[in-house]
Amino acid sequence: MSDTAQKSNTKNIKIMAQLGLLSVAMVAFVFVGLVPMYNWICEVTGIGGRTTGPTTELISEIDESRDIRVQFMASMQTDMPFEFRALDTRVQVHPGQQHTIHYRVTNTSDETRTVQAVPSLSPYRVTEHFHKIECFCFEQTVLEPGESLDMPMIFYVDPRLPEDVRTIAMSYSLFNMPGYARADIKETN
Amino acid sequence: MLKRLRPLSLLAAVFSALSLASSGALAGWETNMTRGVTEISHEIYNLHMMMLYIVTVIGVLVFGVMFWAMFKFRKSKGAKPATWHENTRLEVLWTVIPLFILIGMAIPATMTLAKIYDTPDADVTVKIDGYQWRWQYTYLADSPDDEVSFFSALSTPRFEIRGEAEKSEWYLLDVDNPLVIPANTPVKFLITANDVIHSWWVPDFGIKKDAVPGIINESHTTVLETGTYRGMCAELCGRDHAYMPIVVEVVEPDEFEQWLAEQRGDTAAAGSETLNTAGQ
Amino acid sequence: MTAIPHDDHAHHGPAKGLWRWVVTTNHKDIGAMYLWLSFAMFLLGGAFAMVIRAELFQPGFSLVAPEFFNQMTTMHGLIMVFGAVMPAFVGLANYMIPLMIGAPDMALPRLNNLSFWILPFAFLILVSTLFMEGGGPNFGWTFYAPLSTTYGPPSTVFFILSMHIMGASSIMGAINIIVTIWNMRAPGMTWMKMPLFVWTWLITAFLLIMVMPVLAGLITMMLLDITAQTSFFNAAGGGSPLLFQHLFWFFGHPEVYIMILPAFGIISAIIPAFARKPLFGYASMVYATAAIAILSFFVWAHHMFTVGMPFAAQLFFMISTMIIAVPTGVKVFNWVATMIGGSMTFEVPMLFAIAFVVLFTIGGFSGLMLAIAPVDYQYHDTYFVVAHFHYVLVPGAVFSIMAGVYYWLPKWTGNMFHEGLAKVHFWMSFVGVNVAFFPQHFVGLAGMPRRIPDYPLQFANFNMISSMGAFLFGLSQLLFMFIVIKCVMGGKKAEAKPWEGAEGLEWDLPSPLPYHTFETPPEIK
Repeated sequence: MSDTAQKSNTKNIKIMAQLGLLSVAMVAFVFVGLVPMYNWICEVTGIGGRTTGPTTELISEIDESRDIRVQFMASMQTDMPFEFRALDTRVQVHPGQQHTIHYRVTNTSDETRTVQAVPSLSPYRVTEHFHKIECFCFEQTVLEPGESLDMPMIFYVDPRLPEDVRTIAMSYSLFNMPGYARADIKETN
Repeated sequence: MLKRLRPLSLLAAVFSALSLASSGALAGWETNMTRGVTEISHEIYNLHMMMLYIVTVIGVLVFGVMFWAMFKFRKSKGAKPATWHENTRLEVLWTVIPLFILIGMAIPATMTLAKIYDTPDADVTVKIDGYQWRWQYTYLADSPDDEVSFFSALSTPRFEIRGEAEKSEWYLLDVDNPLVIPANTPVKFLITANDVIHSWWVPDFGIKKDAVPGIINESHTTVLETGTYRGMCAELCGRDHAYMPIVVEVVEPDEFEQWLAEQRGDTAAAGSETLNTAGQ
Repeated sequence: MTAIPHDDHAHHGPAKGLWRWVVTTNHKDIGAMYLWLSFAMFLLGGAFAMVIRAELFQPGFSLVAPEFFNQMTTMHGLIMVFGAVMPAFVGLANYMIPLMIGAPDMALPRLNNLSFWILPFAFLILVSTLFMEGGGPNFGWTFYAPLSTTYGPPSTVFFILSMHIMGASSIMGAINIIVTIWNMRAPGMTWMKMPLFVWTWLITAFLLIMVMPVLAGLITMMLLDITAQTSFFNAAGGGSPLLFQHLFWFFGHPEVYIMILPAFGIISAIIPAFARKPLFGYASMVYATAAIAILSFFVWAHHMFTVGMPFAAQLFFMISTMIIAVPTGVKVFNWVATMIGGSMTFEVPMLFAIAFVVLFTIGGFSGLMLAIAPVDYQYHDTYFVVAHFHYVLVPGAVFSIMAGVYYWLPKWTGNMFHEGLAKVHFWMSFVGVNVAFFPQHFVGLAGMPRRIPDYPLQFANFNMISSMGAFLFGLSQLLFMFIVIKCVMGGKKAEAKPWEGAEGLEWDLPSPLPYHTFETPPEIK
């Protein structure tokens, strides 16, 4: 009797260990599986419209027959002591043609601050066809008190852009850095 | 903040609610989704009604059989229990039939979904920024100086919310500056947020789109009828989530052009201050 | 049949005094403690719900401030999901599974003790956040980033700690249940002879082991974002708030089924018992449960139709969600078919079971409507959704638990409960639940968003009705407490098998149950 109980107990511990291992593996899977998978899917499908770069692809040809309207917008984290706007709100480009546009950012506070612009474009399926050669969003920007910068972005639209796309909307959101520092949030009323 | 519930005022509220209902106006007793004023919202409404009818019929059938069984096979009526507990043909049947019903539902749903995703080129593009707890509307233009941008916040006075005055008809559904768009014109909304996630919802348009910080979301509409349409923020966004309504005035296209021109004049007159800052 | 004593371990009853409960490794003790904890949490979460419904009784700023209201909705959800429903099912599993499969106890009794006793501390921490500076969690039970990270109250780290403890407890409980079912079945208790409650719990336990770690990973990321300035969910640092939602619902949708699959098991025990006829389609019930569990991993984004997904993704999640209606429908049809040709009586457990079938199905119907992506644009985050998940959780999960409690209470206590009072409890609950939640469909369709402390006047009438129903439902649960305590204290002696048609090994044992049971395995017919 106690012998079978012993055997059963050993088996219990063995199954417990296997299931425990499974749950630990699931925790690990979240970090090394799900998160990278999400990022990969976003990159492939363009969900979220986050463009990357700088591009390494060379421009093949300019497709003069198509006119693409690109609109530029600026957003900013709530209550940041900054001014941020697109100096070119709309440009007309041919696929393959390089273009330079500018955003102006001004630090209206009295301290040196670091900011990061985050790009997003719409519709998402355009993301993989929007190539940036140079962009202020590639790195953080440090601004002295009162400093104002006109920041360039050089891009071209891939000639392989789906035929039905005639308008692309590109938005930059400006965030305070480091990562999670809240902007100067005043508790109002 | 705690306030005593006054039984008398409650009674009065019940009474006024009832009298309101009996006065013929069905205000306050709506039980169904709005049909809305866009082609998409009509289709959504039809889909919703189709679903409602189908599930009602299934429900009546299933519950009907069940209640019949409950009355027929009672011990008190001397029912003797049977012992059968399997019937492969029946089980296959009620696995397959629901599948066909589901396919029947999925086809029109897919068609509507495809229509929602089939977006025309828009004549008017409005960028919508969600903030804690107000909306900002920006009409995109060819040059930065022509852009029109303003905030839209709740205009219901505090004393109505606190119950110190009678609540007005559009309690919690009134804003200081409504969004104005032209009727019968394709309009594109580009929706994002600058703090937490919000959701821009106008039931009459059949649009609900989350405003997510750092991400731009796109929505299209062509409103068929002029009028004032109201909605509310549909994603919990903190303390005043209930207090950031959406009001859209849909006007005739020429009226819209005139309005936009006026706004441009105003913004120009007010200087670049309001225009240039995306934030405050 | 009673357990025959043998010599290798002690045969005394439980240790004396309160200390007994701290050190106990007896599955019945631990099961009972789980159930009492769950009932205490049910009342606490219910009290929060009463605050919510009182505030929503009429439009305007009537009772509590919006900050506090948000904490109430959040705590109500968290306490009900993690404190009331889940521990109740774990308690029932602890109590009943060894009896149902003819095992002397759970396979890992000490782990069992641990997994219970860390739970009260988790809830102590969670509830204490309400008294901390900045208040408790106020971001909804779904705690979407960045509202819960960058914009969350300082108490969020304690919220995360308590969630970690609950998760650990659930995982340990699930491991224990799987090991018990896998390895402790009496000889002859083959897989396809196991009662459905055991089957559903086996599948649920696997779901728990798969998804609770996802929750653990998710809240760890939150913690890192808050304290270590990482950017999993922060757009500024290259993260995405949408990643949070994907991970949350990858956990969250199987979690929903964790709260309903054991309910299917209970109902599948009760309906045949009172129809005096074997369960129709036992095998298809097992397969349907497994199918629902597997499908639950492929439907999560139907909670996120409005976040902006590509067409193909919307279509995929719409269709995968709709398919779940098939195995769920099979279950409902099987229950109805069980009733046909039976010889039915309507004792209280049966009343709850029948109410479960009807009202859960109504919740399933609204779930099917919600699956239709384009229509979901209108339903999403409105009271229609609130009505939907309350229909599947309250007259669904909670009614099944009550049905189970009434069904097994005579077995546990050796006394019959007061049938008349229990019927009053049933009818009050039944009326209350419908009056509370059915009008919420209407206000939801008419455009009322969820999680708002104040609303436009057009929603006033139905909200008032809904509040009245909620108060009635809340009140009736105090009666439930009274009935259960009265039954524990005494009452008409229950026979070993108080329900004529009940099937299963547990009914071969005397009522009340001896402290040790099945120390020699029973013979399976």
